[in-house]
Amino acid sequence: MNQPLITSASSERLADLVPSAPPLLTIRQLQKRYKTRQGYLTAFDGIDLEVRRGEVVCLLGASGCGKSSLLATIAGLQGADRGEIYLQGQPVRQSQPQVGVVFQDPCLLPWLTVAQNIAFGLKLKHMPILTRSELRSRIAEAVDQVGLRGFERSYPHQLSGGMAQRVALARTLARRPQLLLLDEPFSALDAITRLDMQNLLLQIITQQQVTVVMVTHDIDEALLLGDRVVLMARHPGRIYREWTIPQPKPRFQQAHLLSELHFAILEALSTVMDLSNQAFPHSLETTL
Amino acid sequence: MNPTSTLPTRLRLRLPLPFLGLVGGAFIWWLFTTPLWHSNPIVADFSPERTLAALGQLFASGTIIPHIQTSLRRMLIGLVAAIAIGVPLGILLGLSRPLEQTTSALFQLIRMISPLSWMPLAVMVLGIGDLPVYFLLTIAAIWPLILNASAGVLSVNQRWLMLSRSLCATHWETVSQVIIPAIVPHLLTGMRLAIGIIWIILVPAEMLGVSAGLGYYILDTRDRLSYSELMAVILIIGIIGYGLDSVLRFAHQQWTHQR
Ligand SMILES: Nc1ncnc2c1ncn2[C@@H]1O[C@H](COP(=O)(O)OP(=O)(O)OP(=O)(O)O)[C@@H](O)[C@H]1O
Ligand SMILES: [Mg+2]
Repeated sequence: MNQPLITSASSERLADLVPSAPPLLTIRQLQKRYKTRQGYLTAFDGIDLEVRRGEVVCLLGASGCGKSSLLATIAGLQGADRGEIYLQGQPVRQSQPQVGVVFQDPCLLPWLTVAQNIAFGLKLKHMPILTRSELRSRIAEAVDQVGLRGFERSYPHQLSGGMAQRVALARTLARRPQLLLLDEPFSALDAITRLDMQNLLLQIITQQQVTVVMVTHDIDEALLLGDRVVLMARHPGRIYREWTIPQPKPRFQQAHLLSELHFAILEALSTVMDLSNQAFPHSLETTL
Repeated sequence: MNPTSTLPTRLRLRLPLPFLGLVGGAFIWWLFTTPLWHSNPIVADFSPERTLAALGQLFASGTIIPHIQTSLRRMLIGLVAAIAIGVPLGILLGLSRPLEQTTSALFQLIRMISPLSWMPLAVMVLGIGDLPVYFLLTIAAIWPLILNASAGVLSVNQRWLMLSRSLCATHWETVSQVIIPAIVPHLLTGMRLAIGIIWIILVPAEMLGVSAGLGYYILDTRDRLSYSELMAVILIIGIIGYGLDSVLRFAHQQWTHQR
């Protein structure tokens, strides 16, 4: 019943645009199930996704459709039950130094200053060893990038929510990841701060040519930042449809051009919600 | 805020409440023992007036100093031994569920044995002198350290552990750079309790077969029927204990307020 819903038209169109370079991230038939008291809960199933170098893919979907689970699995923070993940052709089984993750909450260590929090990620054993001056310049660079100069010695409790999230971003960016996984990084922020952060992220993406997979609840955010928007359906989580956004970035002034797409996505989202509400009784499998 | 507001405002402004409590306690002590209306010379010996005089005498002559030093040294050694064993053990228990389950019944059982009941055994095995005292202090102080360390590990924010994993930290890096700093408040609480217990156990422990220390000195004053000195030593024990506890409490506050 799920199969015909997945539109292959848009992904075929994408395939035409893609140059022959191998994708940075390849996901094949990925499945994740959680063991619960009532049996197994399939967070997502049959996920196929390819992300090219430099691409920004936004994952959109209703709450509980397995976006965070998918992201955590890609990050190697939890194992998949079926399927494979390849990063530059290498299978991913655990967290990788070249992948950076930013969670919804900043997750700063409260006993470290801003600079120390950033340094924490740089001084770990598997990272290339930096001299003291290299370390300092890396931190300064990251702090500058997120516009927090002057706050290096502040402690997390002295920062606002937006500033704390900037530190989290800086901590991840300082490690120079090739793939950035963002799980609703701005959803806890107010609208103005969020716009600010989106702007910042956009600058970083263009400057660093970093590849991004970003989970979001916000259609506008996806339209603003994404090269591709992937809509997920739930029960179980699966890819329902995807759209390519060809408009050049930044797109802050092009809201009118994107409004059609906005409504198309909204429409698809509501269809997905109706479907998943019907499908819900079957989502808990008691097999095994 | 809280009961403070029920007191007359003028009183509250002039004196801090804890000080008021101390003064009240001293007043009651004085009421029951003062030579002004207690004709019994033994009772009068326990009075604040004579105690303070004896206290001045003890410090002026310097007789009490070596005993204080000895007691503090024993406390420190007992505490260091208890920390050296208890904290790593507690962290290990917090990290390993099977280990925790294996040892929980055993530890609960041993914990419930009053440390002083080990006294005869300690003397038999370790002989007379400082060693059995160290043993008693360590075994008394180790439990709050173990329990607080393992409870601390179990309550470490799961998000921090997730972060540490996402940054590909090794096990040891996670323990040393995330878990241990995260449980410092728990460790300080454990240390505070440990010091309290040590300080309480120390006095009876020093009453067996040692020839220095505040516990020994109490027995000594009793034998010399010098009750004002006895009270002075009791006062010293209380003041030092309070001071130690205040230092630890201050450290705890400093840490939890994050500088
Ligand atoms: N550790 C877990 N154990 C059991 N079930 C889980 C676990 N993590 C997630 N789930 C379940 O898996 C499903 C997908 O959860 P997930 O957090 O991935 O959704 P999401 O799309 O990120 O939702 P949201 O948009 O609200 O963040 C949910 O039904 C959730 O209850
Ligand atoms: Mg989520």
